[in-house]
Amino acid sequence: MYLLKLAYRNFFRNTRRSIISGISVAIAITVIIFAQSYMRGVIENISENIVRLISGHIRITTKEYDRRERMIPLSEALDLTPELYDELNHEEILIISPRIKFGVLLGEKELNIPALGYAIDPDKETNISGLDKRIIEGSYLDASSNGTIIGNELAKRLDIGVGDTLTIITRTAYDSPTGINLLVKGIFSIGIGGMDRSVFYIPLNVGQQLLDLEDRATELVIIVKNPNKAINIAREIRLHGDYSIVPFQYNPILKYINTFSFVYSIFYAIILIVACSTIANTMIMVVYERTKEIGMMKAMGLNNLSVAGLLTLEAGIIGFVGSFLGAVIGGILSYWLKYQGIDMSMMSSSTSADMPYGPIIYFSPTPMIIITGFLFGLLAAIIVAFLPITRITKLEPAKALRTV
Amino acid sequence: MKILNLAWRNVFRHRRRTLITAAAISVGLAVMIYMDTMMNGLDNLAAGNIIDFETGHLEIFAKGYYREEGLFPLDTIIENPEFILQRIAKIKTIKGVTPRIKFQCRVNNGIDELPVLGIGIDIEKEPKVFETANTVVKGEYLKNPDDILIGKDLAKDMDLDVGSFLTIITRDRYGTYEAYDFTVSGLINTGHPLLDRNAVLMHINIAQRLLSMYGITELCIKTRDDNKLMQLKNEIAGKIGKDFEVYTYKELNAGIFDLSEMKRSGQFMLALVVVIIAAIGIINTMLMAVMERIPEIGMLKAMGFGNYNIVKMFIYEGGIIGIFGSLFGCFLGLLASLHLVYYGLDLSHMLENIDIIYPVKFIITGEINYMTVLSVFIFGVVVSVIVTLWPVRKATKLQPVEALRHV
Repeated sequence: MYLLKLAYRNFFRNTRRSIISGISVAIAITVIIFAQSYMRGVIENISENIVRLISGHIRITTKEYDRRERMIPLSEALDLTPELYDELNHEEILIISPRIKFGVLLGEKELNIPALGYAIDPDKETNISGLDKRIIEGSYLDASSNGTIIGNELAKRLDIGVGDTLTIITRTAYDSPTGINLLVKGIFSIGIGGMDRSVFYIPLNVGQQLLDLEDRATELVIIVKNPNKAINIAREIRLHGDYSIVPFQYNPILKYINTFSFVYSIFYAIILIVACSTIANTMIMVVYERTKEIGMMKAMGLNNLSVAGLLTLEAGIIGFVGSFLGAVIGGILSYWLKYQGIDMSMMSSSTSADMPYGPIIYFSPTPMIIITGFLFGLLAAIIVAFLPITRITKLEPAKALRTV
Repeated sequence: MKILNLAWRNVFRHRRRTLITAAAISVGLAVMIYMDTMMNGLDNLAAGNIIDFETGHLEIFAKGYYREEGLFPLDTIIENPEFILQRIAKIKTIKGVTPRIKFQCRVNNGIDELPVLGIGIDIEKEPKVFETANTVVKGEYLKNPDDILIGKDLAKDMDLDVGSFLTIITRDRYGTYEAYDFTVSGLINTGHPLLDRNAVLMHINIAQRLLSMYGITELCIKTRDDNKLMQLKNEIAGKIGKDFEVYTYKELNAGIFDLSEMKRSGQFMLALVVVIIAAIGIINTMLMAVMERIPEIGMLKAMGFGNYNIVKMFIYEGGIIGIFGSLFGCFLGLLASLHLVYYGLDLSHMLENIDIIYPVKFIITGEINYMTVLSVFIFGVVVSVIVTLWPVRKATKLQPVEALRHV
C-alpha cells in the first residue's frame, strides 16, 4: 500500500511529463475505441442491409439456381408446395417470404438499361425490407393491382415518375417472350447506389403470371427470431430435394469485411506501440533521475521486487489515467455517433448492389470494446515500464548512491 | 555551426530516449508511405485498365450523348466520324484514334441470358489505342463477320469456349428487338472486370447492322503525353466544334476516382493519428531536455547566449531527432512498399464474384510515388521542429540567476 502511495506521489513530481505521457495513451485508446466501434457499425450496417434487401436471415434456393445465380435462371425456380412449407415448420422461423428475381433491359427506344426486378409479397416484405418506409413519392405496392415501385435513380434514368407506365419485356421461365405494362405506384430511395439505380419491385402474383411461374419462386427468404442462431437453424432445416440453404453469415462480402477488420487490428497495435514509446521514455528518465534515490531505497532494505513494483505502479498510474481518459472520450464519441450516425450517402451512392453499404452508419460500441481498449492501454503501459526496470534491479546500492 | 554542434551532442546525451522518440516518428511516416504506395498502385491499375481497354485517354461523343456513367443511349451518335478524324488528323500528340460502338445487350447461350455491354470495334484501328488484341488467351482475334470475343470469366460463367455459339439480343436504335448469332472466336483476359466478365467484342459493322444505325457512339483517343491531357482535350474541342464533346477518362469515371480520393483521405487520417501520437512523444522528450538542463541553460544565458540561440539549439535538437526518425521512417516505408511493388497483395480469393465497382481484379501491386516519400520526410522534420517550440518557450523565460540556482 505504501508503494502505491509513493508511486502516486512520484506521478506528480513531474506532472507535466506524466500528463503528456498519459495524453498519448489517451489519444491512442480513443482512436482504437472509435475505430472499433465504427468497424462494428459498418459490419452491422452491411449485415442488416444484406438481411433486409438480399437474403433474409436464411435464403433457400434450388442447388442449381445457387450455382448459376449470376444468370438468374428462372427455370431453376422452386415449387411452393404445401409440403415445402410443412418442412419449414420450425419454431424459430418467423416469416417465410417467396421472391422472384429476374433481369430485364428497360427503357424507351434508344435506352437499354439493365435492371433487376423482384416479385415480392408486399405484406410480408414490409417486415423484412421495410420498403414501405423508403417510399419517397407515391405509395407502396399492393398485392391486388398491376403496379410497381422503382428506385429513384432508375426512375431518373428512365425519365418516368409516379403515374407513368413502365413497360417490361422479358422472357418466361420457359424462354418465350413475355411483357406487361405496369403503373408506377411509387418511387423508393434506399440510399444504396446499386439498389436505387437498378431495382424495381412488383407484386408476387404479377411476377408469377408474367414469368410463367405459377406457384413457384426463385427463392425463399426466411426471417428467424434470433439472427445469431441462423447458422444452426439453417443446419436443422431438412428438406426433401436438392436445396441450398444459406444463412446470411456466409455472405461472401461479410466474410471479406471480417478479414479486413483483422488488418485493422495490426493498425491498432501500431498506434498503441507508438503511444507507449512515450511512456517508455518517461520511465527511462524516471529511472535515470532517481538512480540515487533508488540506491538509497535499496540500501534501506527495499528489495528488487518492491523497487520494480514501485516503478511499475508509476507507469501503471500513467497508463491508467491515459487509458481511462481515452476510454471515456472514445466511449462518449462512439455512443454519441451511435445515436447520431454518420451520413455516408456520398460514398454509398456509388457502391454496387453486391456491397450494400450505408447510407447512414451508426457506430456500434459495446462495453466490451471500451473495457478491452482500457485494459490494453493499461497493460501496454505496464509492459513498456519493464524495459528500464530490469536495469534498475541490477543496480548495486553503493554504486547507485554514488552516481551524480 | 557551434550551436549545431552543441545540439548534436545534446541529442546523444540520452541515446535510448532519442532512439525511442525517433522510432515513433519513423513508424508513423512508414505507415503513411505504405498506404500511399497501396493507393497509388490501386489507382494506377484502375486508370491503366480504363485507358487500355475501356475508353482510352479521351473520348469524343456527339453532344448530349454522355449523361452519366453506365448509360449508353443510341439517340445521339456520331453520324459521320470522318469529319472529326479529318479535323484532328494534324494534332501531333495524338497517338491513335479508333471508333467504338457501345450498347447494352443480353448474351444468350441457349440456356441462360445475361446482360452485358456490347462493344463494336474496328479491328484495324483498335490496336492503335487499345490492348485488347494482346490479351487473347485462347482462340484468336476477330476475323469472320460473326466472330465474337468474350472475357474468360464470362466464358466460365456461361459455359462457353472457343467455337461455342451464342446469341446477342438487343434493341436497335428504334426500339425494335434484334437478335444475332455469333461464334466465339477467342477468349480475352484483360484484368479489367468490365471486359472479362461483363462485355462482348464484335466487328463494328456488325454492331451497326444489329442496331440499325450508321455512325458510331464514340471515338477513343490515345495520346503520347498523358501529362498534357487537358491541353489536348481543349485543342480537340476547339477543332471539332460545338456538335461534339470531349471527355477525359477521369471525367468519365469520376465516381471511381472520387471513391479512391475518399479512401485516401480516410487512410491519411489514420496515419496522421500515429504521427500526432509520435509528435507528443517529441514534446515529452524535448520538455525533459529543457527541464533537466535548466541550470545549464542558465549558465549559457549568463555567458551571453541570447534567447534566439537557445531556441535555435533546441530546434536543432528537435530537428535532428526528426531527421533521424524521418529518414528511418522513409527507409522502413520504402522497404514495406517494395514488397508491395514486387510481390503485391492478392485479395482475389476473398472477393471471388463480388462486384466492388473498382475496375481492378484484386491483386494489388504498389506504386511508389517518390514525391510523396519526400513530402512525408519533410512533413516529419517540420512536425518535429514545430512541436519543439512549445517546450522551448519555457527555456526562454528563464532568468539566468534563478536558473543557475535550480536543482
